[in-house]
Amino acid sequence: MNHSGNLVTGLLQVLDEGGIHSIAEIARRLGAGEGLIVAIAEELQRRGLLTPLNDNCGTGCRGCAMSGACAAPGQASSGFGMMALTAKGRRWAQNRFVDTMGN
Amino acid sequence: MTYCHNPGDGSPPAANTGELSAALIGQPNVGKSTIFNMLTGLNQHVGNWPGKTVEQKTGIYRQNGTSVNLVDLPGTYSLTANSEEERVARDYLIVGRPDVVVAIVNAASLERNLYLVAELLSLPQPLVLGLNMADVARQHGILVDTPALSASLGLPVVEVVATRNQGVRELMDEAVHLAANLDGWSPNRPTIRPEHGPVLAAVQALIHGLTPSAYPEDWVALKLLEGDSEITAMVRQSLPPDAWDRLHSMLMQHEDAYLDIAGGRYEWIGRIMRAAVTRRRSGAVSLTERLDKVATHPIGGLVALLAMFGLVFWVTYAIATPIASWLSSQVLGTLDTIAASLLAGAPSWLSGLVTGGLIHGVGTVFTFLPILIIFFAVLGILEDVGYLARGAYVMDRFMHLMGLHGKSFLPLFLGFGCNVPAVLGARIIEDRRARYLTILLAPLVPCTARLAVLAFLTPAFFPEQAALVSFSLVALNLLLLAAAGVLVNRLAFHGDHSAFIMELPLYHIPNPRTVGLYVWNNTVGFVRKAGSLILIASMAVWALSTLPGRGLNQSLLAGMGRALEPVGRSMGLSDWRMIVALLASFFAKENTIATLGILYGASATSGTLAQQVAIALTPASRLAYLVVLLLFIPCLATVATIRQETGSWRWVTASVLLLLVICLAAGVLVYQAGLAVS
Repeated sequence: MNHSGNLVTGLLQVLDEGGIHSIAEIARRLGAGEGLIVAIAEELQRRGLLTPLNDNCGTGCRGCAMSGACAAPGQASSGFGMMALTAKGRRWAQNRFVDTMGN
Repeated sequence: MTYCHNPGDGSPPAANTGELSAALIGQPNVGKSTIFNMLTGLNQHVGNWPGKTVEQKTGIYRQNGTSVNLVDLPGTYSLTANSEEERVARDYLIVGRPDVVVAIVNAASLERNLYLVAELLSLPQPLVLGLNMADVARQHGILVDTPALSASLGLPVVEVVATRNQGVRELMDEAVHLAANLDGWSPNRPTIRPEHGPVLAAVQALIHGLTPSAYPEDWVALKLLEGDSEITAMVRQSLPPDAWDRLHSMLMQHEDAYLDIAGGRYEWIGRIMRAAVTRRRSGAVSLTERLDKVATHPIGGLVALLAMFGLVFWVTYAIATPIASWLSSQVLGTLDTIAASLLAGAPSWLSGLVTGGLIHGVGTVFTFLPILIIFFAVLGILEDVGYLARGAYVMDRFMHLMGLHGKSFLPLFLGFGCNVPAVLGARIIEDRRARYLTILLAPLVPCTARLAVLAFLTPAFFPEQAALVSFSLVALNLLLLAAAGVLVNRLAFHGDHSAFIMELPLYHIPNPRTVGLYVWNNTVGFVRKAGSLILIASMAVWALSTLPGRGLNQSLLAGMGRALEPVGRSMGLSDWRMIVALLASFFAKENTIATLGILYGASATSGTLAQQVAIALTPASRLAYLVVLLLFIPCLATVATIRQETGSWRWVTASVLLLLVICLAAGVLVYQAGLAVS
């Protein structure tokens, strides 16, 4: 992928396309390691641009809206799991994309 | 242009001999406290940071005549004020001004840990890096070239294995040495993108001389651009109103400057990683990559997904159907005979209830336990292997290829076991209208109960093409679901879309215990349902099919069924018993089988239930019946959940009516098409 920003803006631009993206796919498109993409996603989550969808996995399935819908029901997730772009993340991604296209 | 070529007020702490202060910092769980405890032993004091609820640990460490006052700072991911721990850590670094900072990083996840190091380099304090858990990293095939890391960072780096007290003393040697020899210390600091240089300079000019002296101005300017709430509040209090207004306006214009600042740091991390870290690819990683070339391909992956469904049905039919048929014809028939002889002297209503209601009703449902067990086992294996996560990914990729995707698809697709969690999964959708529309369509997800009933009837209806027919029906169901998702996206989201990042787990050999638990939990759930809801429904069906006592064809149930025969005839269902069995599926999908069992009264001589039912229908009407079964109105549990989630009977009614229209339309179309073909 030819992204005109940096890895962080590149990640947001990929997500701005919508849909589900795997970490491997994003890493391939941005030319970065998967570990780095995970690190960036976790930082964006701390900043409120992404939100985890299975943050109850540490305590198992109780209380999780996705518990019956999870790829591994009944198990606590030990890894990254899944995150969704928040409204703030979407707004920032679209603003930055507009800036990039405008330039 | 670098933002920190000359950090702070330009003066790192003066070199000290004899006594110095050092701060231990790092992300949570990197082994920092282990190192602190090893260094200080009993010479430590634990309390709280003044005015905070965060624990403060300080201690004395002595080495070669130097006394080091060591502070174990709280675990922190960055120096932004996201938590009290982070505030405590950075306030100490800025106000406390330790002589040297010792950053502990986890060698096995350097990408995550180096972000804090990037932030630490924006402060004037000299920095030494302790590379902990290098042994763990090596076990995972991660090889860190420590000299290369040191050279690319421009920092002293010492490899440490804290749990074995290896390298800890050497780390402190470096820290003490650096604190005493600051000349020539020239770390490689991350930079922000050039286009934000002027903005940073402008912010710095606005705050020049107006911020508390302990805080380096360029660091404060950076934090303002990052949107740090605490620094922003501090500056707001320090600046005159007109200066603050100008600054605030500038910051609002560059609200997303954080993206470039963080981006610059991660680009820096990426360069460091490429220079100093290599990863040996494990077999599991290579296998996953090879398999995912097909499994996640937009077209190939979809074909693979549909093939998997076909495989699920084929395995089920090959192993479970013969067992189910044997149970139906031999075990049920024998139970029937035993019950009839035991109850020979009992009132006729009692023997009728036991044989007609319980054995033919609930008993028939239990005969498809083998189908359920095999079905759950195959699904459980696919889940544990890691394949089902690819399923959701591929369906989304497929829809994306057509320019179509939506947030509603994810909870619907993942809720494959039962419609109830598919309805609950819609909670992730913030917009109320969009959420309710998604809930409306959740019953289109083919739950395992529907699939089990399908698996029970299809081999009898189409013995030679059972797997192909089942596979086609499920594919049709998924297409309808995809179409519904598109519709919801257009109606509810107005073409707007949401995005997800998902980790596709490595493929691995399924864990028998995990799969076993999955099968056990689902089977127990089914048995409980059979012992409660299906039992009650069976007794009710039996009662209605017996009263007023003039035989089955004159019963109350027959009256109800015949009233609906005109609808059934449009799909070739002229037998009212088939229609009643469909209606009974409202209480639980498996009730269809129980009801058919009661109404057809299968026995050892008359063949299996499914075979008897098949005789009553033409091929076209058999196909239509299966389609209607798969798409019929939601069950009671799903309806109750829809009511709970929407708080409205209107949405419940809409969901039921929608499914009714879809299933009847599909049934009629399939029947007419079947007639035309045959």
